[in-house]
Amino acid sequence: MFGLRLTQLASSGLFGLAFALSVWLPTRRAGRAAFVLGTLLGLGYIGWRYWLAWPMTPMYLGTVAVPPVLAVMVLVTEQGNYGHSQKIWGAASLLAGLLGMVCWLFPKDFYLPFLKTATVFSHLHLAFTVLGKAAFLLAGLWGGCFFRAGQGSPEVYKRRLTSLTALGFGFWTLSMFSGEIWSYRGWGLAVVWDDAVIVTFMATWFFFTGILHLYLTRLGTTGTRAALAVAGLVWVLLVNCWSDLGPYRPPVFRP
Amino acid sequence: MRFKAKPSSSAVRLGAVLWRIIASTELSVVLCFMIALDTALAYPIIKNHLTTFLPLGEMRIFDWLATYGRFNLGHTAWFFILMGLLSLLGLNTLICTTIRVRRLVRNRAAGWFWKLGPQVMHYAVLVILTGYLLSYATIESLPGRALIPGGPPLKLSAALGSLSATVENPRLYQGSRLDFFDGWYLDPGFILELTTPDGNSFKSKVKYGQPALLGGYHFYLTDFHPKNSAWRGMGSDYMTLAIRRDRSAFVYLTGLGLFILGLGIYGADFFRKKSA
Repeated sequence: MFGLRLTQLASSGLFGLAFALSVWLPTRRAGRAAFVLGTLLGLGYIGWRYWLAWPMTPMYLGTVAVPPVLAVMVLVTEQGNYGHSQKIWGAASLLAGLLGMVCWLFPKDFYLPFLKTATVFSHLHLAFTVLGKAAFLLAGLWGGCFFRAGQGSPEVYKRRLTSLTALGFGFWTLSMFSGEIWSYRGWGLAVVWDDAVIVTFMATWFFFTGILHLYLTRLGTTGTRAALAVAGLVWVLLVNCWSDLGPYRPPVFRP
Repeated sequence: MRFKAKPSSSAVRLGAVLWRIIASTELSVVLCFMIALDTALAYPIIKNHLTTFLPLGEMRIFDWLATYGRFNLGHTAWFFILMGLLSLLGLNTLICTTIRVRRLVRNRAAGWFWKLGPQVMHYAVLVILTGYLLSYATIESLPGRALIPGGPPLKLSAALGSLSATVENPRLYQGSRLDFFDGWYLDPGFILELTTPDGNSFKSKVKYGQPALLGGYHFYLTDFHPKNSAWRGMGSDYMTLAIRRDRSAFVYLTGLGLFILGLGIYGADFFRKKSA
């Protein structure tokens, strides 16, 4: 467990360092190297947790796994050197570092996996949940950058905000469907009420359904979309990430 | 003398206004946000009053509403509100979608079929919601049936007959990755045998995540003992089952398939436009 905690801390620290370097250094290379290293360590952490629990699903990984997955999304989509792209790298580093650090201080990694999670639907449910959260958070970062940066064409922002929200919604829907099939095959029920977290999934699905439908109305301007994407970021952090946090554990290193 | 019924102009106007509201996208948006808020606020309520909501899986929904729901209104009010909001959203979705589908089919503009993706998804949501309601309203459930594998048969009911079980060779947790799980059974499997009152017997395998279907009922494994191979032979071997018959499950499962089909058509349309 010590090694796991250390890996997670190092990953979050590297994201924080990437943010600091992107602010203070004129060159991008050092910041991006820290970002990539943080991503690799974060993915290593996910792999380690999986290796321990396999073939069961690791418990409460749904938020801890978001920072590296968000970073991978940034690495895949933001290859250009445009002004808005720079802002996204910086904002993603900051969010990934902060989220990782909060998860490190309030961990929920001490729960043992349970046998009913040893099914493909449980694994799919977790994977789609993490991908959905990362896409919603990235859309929120684009929304925030629209208000702060004032760079790039509004059309680029509009396209990105729409496609990332739609992508997140698609992942979230698949997460809910795989969870539902898991529930049907494992318990014989459409909704298992053993865990209150089930309603937070519904809440987020309806929240983003509302946002996507708002795009169809007269309110669908770039500014409104950006504001809604930021609201979505806050919503996901409060409704879906909060429930994955455990009690505060002071940072004492005892190998 | 014949009178021609003439609706008053104010009634017609009111009807038109109501129709415009119920068939509007703005109403869908408001309802979605209200449902989101209602379910998000329900999270701490369910967490603190889990025992009120657990029976939802074991009894029919209208029985639950009349008992647990009615007498714990302080923490079940959100559920009643949710049902009302979902009903309104269902009506709104049905009207909005049908209007758009009619328009698409009537105009038959080039590539109209590819525009059906979102409409299929909307109808799918209606099918899923209907399926949930039917499932929760009609499910037959016999939870918490315990029996000893290799032991005497368990009498279920006069109509179903009796049930016995034998253990199948299960897979063990490999290595010492998590010390706690060393030697644990990973996928406990049991062969269930149902002997009907007329003497016929049927066999099926049950595991976690793989129910057995016997006599029209699904048998779900809910617990078993011993969980560790080292504990075998210490007595207290048992398994517990939840037995359910849910004739409406296929409705919401069909809805899931329909939604994925709609998503596929939508995705194909997106890439079709992009490549054009």
